[in-house]
Amino acid sequence: MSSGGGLWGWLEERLRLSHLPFYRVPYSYMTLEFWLGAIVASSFMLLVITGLLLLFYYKPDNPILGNYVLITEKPFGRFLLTTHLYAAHAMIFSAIIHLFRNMYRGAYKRPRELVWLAGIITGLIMIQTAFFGYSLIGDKIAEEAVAIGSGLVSNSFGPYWGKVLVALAFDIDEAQRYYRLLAMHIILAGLLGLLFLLHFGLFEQQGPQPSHEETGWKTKPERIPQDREDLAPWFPVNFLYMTFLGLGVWGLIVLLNAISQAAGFVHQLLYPLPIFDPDKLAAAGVSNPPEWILEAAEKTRPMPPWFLVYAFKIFQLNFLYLNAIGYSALLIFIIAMVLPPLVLSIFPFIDRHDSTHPLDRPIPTIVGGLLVIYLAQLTIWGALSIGYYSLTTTALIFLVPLLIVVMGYIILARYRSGEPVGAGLVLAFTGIILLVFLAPGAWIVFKGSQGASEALWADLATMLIGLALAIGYVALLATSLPGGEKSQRTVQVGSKDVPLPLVALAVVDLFLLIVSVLLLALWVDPIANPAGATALVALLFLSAYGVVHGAYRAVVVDKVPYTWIGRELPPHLLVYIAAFITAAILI
Amino acid sequence: MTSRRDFLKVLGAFGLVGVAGGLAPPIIKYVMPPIPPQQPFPRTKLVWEDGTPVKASELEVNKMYLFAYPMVNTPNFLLNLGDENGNPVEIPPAELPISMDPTRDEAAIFKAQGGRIEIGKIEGRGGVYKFPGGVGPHKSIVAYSGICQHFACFYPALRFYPPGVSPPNPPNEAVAKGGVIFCACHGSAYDPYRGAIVTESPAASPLPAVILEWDPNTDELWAVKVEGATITGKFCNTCAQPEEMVGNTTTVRQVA
Repeated sequence: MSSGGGLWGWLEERLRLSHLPFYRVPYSYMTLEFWLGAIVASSFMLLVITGLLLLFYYKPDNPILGNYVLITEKPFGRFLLTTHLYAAHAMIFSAIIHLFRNMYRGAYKRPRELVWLAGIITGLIMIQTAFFGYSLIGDKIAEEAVAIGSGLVSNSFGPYWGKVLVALAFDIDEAQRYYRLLAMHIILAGLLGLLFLLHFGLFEQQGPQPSHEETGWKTKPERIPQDREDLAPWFPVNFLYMTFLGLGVWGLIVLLNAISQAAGFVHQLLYPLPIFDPDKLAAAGVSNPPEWILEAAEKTRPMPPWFLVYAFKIFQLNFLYLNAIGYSALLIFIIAMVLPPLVLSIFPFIDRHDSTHPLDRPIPTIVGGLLVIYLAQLTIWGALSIGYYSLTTTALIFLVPLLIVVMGYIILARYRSGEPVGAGLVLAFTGIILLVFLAPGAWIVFKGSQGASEALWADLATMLIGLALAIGYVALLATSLPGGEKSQRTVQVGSKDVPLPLVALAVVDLFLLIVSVLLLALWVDPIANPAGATALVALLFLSAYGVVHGAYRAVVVDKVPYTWIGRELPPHLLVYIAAFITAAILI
Repeated sequence: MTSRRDFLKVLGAFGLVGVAGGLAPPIIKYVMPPIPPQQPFPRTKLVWEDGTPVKASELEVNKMYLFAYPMVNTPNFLLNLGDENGNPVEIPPAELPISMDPTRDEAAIFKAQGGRIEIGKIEGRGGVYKFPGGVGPHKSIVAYSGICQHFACFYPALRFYPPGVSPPNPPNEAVAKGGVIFCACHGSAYDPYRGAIVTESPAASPLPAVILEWDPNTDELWAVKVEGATITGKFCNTCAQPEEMVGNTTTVRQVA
C-alpha cells in the first residue's frame, strides 16, 4: 500500500508495515493449500486466549467442582471450556492435514528439512499438551487418561523407571495431582508456542515451496524468486488474507461447538462438555446434577479423545505384548508413539530425488500414505469396538490398503513413465480389488459360523473404510498425471474498480456483525442459553471474516479480477449459514 | 472507482474493531467475580449463649467479651471499661479520623514526651467519623471490631489488656502500662478508652466502632451500626449474602 498522507500515511511512517521482513509470495498463492499452517496457528491462538481465560476459575484442589461451576454458573464459562476443546480438535486435525499435504508435495525436501523436523517435534508436543489438557478436566475421560497413561508408562519402562515417569507426569499424591497437570499443560503449551515460532521462523527463511505448477514437479528453484513481478506486498495482502482465514477458522470452530452443544450427546468423541461421573460429582460437592450430565455419563465408555484412539486401539492388539519380559508394553509404546514420528522424520534424508512428483518418490508416497490410512483405520476401529484382536483379523484389515496402494502406485508410475503397464498388472490389480471385496464376505461367513460377536461389524467397517481410503489415495495420486508441464500464472493487471456486488456482500456481513455485537452485549443470557451465546460468538467471528474478505478482495481486485458474484459468494455463504444456525439455536 | 475500494478497506477495519469490541462484554462478564449485595445494618440484640438478653449491668469491668456483627464472620470486642481498681470509667464521645499515623503525627511527638495523645491534635486523613462514646449506666460500655486494621489478625492475637496488665513484649512504656488493645501479630496498639485510636504502628486506622444502643428501662443492649474505617479484609462492612449477616440476635461470650 502506498504511503500517502492522512492517518494511513502517519501510521505507515511509524509502523513501516510495508517493510516487514516476511517472505513475499505471489498473489496466486493466496489459496487454502498454501495456508494450512495458518489454520493450525490460528487454532493455537484461540487456544491460548481461551486457555488463559479458563485459568481464572480452574480449581486444582477440586477440578470437578471447579469445572462444574464454570460450565453451569459462570457467564460464558461453558463457551470458553467447550471452545477450548473444539479449538484443540481443530488444531490437531488441521495439523494432520498440514503434515499430510507437505508430505504429499515433498515440501520437506532440501532446503526445508529442518522446517519439517521442527514441525514434527511441534506436533509431538502438541499431542502431549492436549493429553495433559483433557486430563485437567477431572471427568471420566480424564481419570482414564491418567490411569491408562500410568499403566502404559509403567508397563513400557519397567517397575523403576515406569514409576519415576508416572510420578513426574501425574504425581503419586492424588491431592497434588491437578496442580501438576495444570503446570504440565501450561508449560507444554508455552513450549509449543516457542516451537511454533521456531517452525515458522525456519519456514520464513525459505518461504513456501514453489508450486508444482511453476516448477514442473522439480525441486528447483528451491525458493520463490523475490524479483518476480506478481509478488504481493505482505501488508496488506498477506495480512488481510491471514486475518480473513483466522477469523474464519475461529468462527467455524465456535459454530461447530454451538451446533454440538445444541445437539446434545451424539457421540462421546464429539461431546463438547465434561462427562462427569455422578458419584465423583457428589463427592466433589454437587448433589443434584442436571439430567444431561447423567445421560452423558451413562452413554460414555472408556475411550480417549479421537486423536489418541489409534494408540488406544494398538494397545488392544494383544499379540503385540511382550509378556515374557518386564517391559510388556514397550513394543506397543514404540509402535504407537515412536514409530510414526520416526518414519516421518527420515523422509527428507532418504528422499533425495530432484522430483517432487509423488510418483517419483515411492517410499514417502507409499509409506506416508499408508501411515495416514492406517491411523484413520485404527481411529475408526477403536471408536467402533473395544476388545483384544487376533493377528489374523489385524493382518486382514491392514493388508487391504497395503495391496491397493502398492499396486496402484506401480501401475500409475509405469503409466507416467510411458512404460507399458501390462495387462497382467491391471488384471492383478483388479483381481486384488475383487478379492478385497470378496474377503469381507468370506470373513463374515467364516466368523458367523463360529458365532461371531457384534465386533465383527466393526472389523468389517474398518476393512471397508481402509479400502475406500486406499482407493481414494490412489485416485489422488492419479490426479497428478500426466504432470511435467511448467506453467506460471501471468501477472494480471486489471482495473482498481471494485464492482458493486463486492461492496454489497461486505455491507450485509457488517450488518450481521453489528447485530451479533449488540445481541452478545445486551440480550443473550449466557447462563440460561449457553449454546445460543456460543452461536452468537460464532456469528461475530464469521461476519467479521466476511467483512475482512471484502477488504481483501478490494485490495487485490486489480491483480485477482472480479468475474462474477458466484466466485465471491462461497466465503459469504458460510456467514449466512452461521446466521441461520444462530437464529435457529436462539429461537 | 477508488472510493469503493477505500470504503471496503474502512469496512475491513470496522470488522476487526467489531470483533474486539464484540468480545469485550462477554470477557468482562466472565472475568468479573460476583460482588455481594450491600445489606442494611441489622438491629441486633446482644444475648448470652443460652439466649437470655445481655444486661449492661451483668458485664464485668475490664473483662473481654466477643460477639459477631454485622456479619457472622466479623468478630467484635464488647468491653465494660474501668480503671485499675475495677471502677467503671465514662468513655466520652469524640470525632475521630478514619486514617491516622501515630509515628508521624504531632500526636506521636506528644506521646514521646510521655503525654497521652489528645484526640484533637491527631492529624487525621480520609475524613472523620463520630465515635459516640460509652453506653450503659456508667457510660463505660464500648464495642470495637475485633479484627486488627493492619493485617486482619483477631482474637487471641488481638486482645484487650486492662490497665496495669502489660502485653507480652510491649514495644514501649505506654503500652506496658496496659489499658490497650494490642495485636501480637505486628505490635499495633489501640486505645479503647478513646475510640480505639491507633497508639502504636503499623496499623493506620482506629478499630471500627460498633454503635451500641442501651435501653435504660430493660438494661438490654443492641448493636445497630459500624462506624469508622471499613473492617479489614472486607469489600464493605455489609457486602454479603443475607445468610452471612447476623440476625436479630448475636451471641456474646466471655473469653477472659
